[in-house]
Amino acid sequence: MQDYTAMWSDLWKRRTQMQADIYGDWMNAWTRMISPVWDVEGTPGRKKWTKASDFYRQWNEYAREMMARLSVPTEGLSPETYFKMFESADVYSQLYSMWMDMYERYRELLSEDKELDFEAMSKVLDEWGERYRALVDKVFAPALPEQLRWIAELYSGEIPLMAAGMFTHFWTPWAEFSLGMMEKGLSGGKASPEAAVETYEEWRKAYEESCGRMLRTPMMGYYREAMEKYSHTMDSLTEFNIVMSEFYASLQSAGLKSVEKLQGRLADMQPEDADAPVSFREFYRLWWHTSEDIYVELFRTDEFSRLLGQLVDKGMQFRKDFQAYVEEATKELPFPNRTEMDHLYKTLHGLRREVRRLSRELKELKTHQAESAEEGGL
Amino acid sequence: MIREFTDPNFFIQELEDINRKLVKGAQILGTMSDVEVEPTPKEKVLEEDKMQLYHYVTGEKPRCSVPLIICYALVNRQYMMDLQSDRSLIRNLLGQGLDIYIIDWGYPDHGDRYLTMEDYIDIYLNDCVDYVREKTGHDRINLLGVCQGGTFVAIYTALYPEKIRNMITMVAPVDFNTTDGLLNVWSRHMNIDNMVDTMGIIPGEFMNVGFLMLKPFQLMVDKYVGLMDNLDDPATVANFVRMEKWIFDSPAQAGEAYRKFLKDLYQENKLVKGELEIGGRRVDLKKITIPLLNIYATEDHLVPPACSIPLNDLVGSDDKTLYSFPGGHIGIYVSSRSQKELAPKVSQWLIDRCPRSGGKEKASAAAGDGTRSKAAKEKKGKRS
Repeated sequence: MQDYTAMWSDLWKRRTQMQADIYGDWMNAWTRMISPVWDVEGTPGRKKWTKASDFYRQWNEYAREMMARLSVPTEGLSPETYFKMFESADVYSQLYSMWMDMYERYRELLSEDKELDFEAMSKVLDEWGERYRALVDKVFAPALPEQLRWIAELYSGEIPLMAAGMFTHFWTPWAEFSLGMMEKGLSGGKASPEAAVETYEEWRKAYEESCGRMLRTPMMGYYREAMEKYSHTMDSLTEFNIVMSEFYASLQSAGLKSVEKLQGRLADMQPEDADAPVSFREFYRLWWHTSEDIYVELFRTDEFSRLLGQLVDKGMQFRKDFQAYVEEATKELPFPNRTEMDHLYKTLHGLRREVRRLSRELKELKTHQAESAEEGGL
Repeated sequence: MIREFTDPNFFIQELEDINRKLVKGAQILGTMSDVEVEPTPKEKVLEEDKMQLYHYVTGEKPRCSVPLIICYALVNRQYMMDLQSDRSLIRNLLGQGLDIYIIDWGYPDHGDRYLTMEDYIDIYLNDCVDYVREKTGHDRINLLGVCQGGTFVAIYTALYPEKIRNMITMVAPVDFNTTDGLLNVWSRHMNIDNMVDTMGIIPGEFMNVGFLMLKPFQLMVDKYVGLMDNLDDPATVANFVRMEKWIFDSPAQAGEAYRKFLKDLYQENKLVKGELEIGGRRVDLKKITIPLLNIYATEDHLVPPACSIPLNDLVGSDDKTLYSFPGGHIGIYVSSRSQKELAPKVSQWLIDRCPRSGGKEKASAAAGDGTRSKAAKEKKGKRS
């Protein structure tokens, strides 16, 4: 007969030990996880937040160890299942770690020499892309059926690299633009229409290479159509505003020129007796004539004509895109939209012309008949 | 030195003058009802879609029985020619003994966006001409085109030479290949297709912005400063308001007609090149062999002389007159000089070419589209 008492005693001890071990491991894990986060690095009060990513990794490691130690075979819930679960959870921690690393690297790059280095950023992003590819390949690819492995390859290969490149391209133009503006401000550049045009040009360049590209990319998902139209509207509004700014800058430039011209003309206008003043009304006439001359001179230039053409064209494009978005957004409402009415107008116009043509043919036939009858009667 | 800045007496004096005028002007504007335009009596004789044809009623026998149809531009309204009693080119021409009809194109709305130049020329204008020919018994009538209406008249006469006896164009753009006018310069860089496809009809307000930009300080500033000088004169204020009403009473432009006019004429100058097609037929200005009176304004900023003058060299007429009016695009209708000089010139030119037999000549050519004139019917009746 078995010594059940000894057996239960041994079992109890093992269970107690196991619980103690688990508790010990748990506490050790928390100690390891938390301590780096709360370390003070040099400056009092400054937390070493960058180590916080370790929290996830260590927690994940501990959980895996614990579950492996329990190793309770239950139907449908094998250690492998737990492994997969925590392997998946590891993705989160690794992603967090990667983004944090990237952020840190940028911060370091900026803090080292205060200059943005496109190549250095590209290198960081390339590394990030590689890590991401490896991560996805490691975690997701085995989970997919053989026939769908190409998806993992796709997402682990080109996409992260493309995403990395896109991020670089999105961010860099604005950084360069900001730095350029900062330098101009530091070098004491004066505000002038020419400088404004230059600024708008640089802004436009940054926009074209960043937001412009983003807004023109195809949308996906259930609201694809509406979102795409909305994006296009935003894009064309921005384009319109850019040209509008250039347009107004050219008008301002002409305004400054007219002031200079006015001063010259005013001097010429003074009578021989320099003390004899001109009336304000005379001055007013001189002012508007001078301004008119300068503006018309501007309006005659090919550059202005092109700018005006662009302004109207961009305005039309915005209006067209906005109209398309409004129609998409209101298509379920119980009234016809512009496109539908236009279709109706076109049909109506064609019908009017057709009715007119048939009426005239009928009239001619009747006239011909009457004439024939008249001639037959004679 | 500006005296108001140095001597406060001048400044105070000017302020006092301005304030006095403002108070008086406020009284005048406050008691003024809406201004009347088109004072000359007329009756509607034909209506088709939004187009209406009016006949001026005088009760007197005209010196020249051959009727005259005035074809105004699609831009702005035809009542510029009859803005007020003492400045009415129409009234003046009637007084000289002409029998006048005038086309009112109406106000196109979105339902008219598909109206084409063919609709305006081959249908509306042609129907007006046929109506007047039938009603008056004249197989060939006189046609006067104003501004864009002048371009239409030239195109129409080239296509239907058998229906027109004399042709008059006033400040009409024909040769668009010039840099004298800002509209000519600007239009070259306009994406007309995008404009028409987007808006459908081109709003009058949109057109007005362009017109105001031609002389921004004069039209947006000095014009109103000038009014301030005359605010104490009720007649001047009323005249100003009438003109203001006309300027901003701007119909929209039917999209397809606008597209063709701007692209084929302003941008590609097809009329002068002999490449313009209306309804599949090429417009050849050399087919115009009737007498032509081509009037242009020397100071025209909308249709510069360089746009109008070449017409005389492009037509096949032997009897052609080029008349230069010293003034601007608007002054040609409303200035006192216009009333004194232009109206008598136009009427005399027509009367000189008015057939002494009364003009109801035997029809040499019936209307090509199946419409038969009264004169043609009379001829057939006699033959029978």
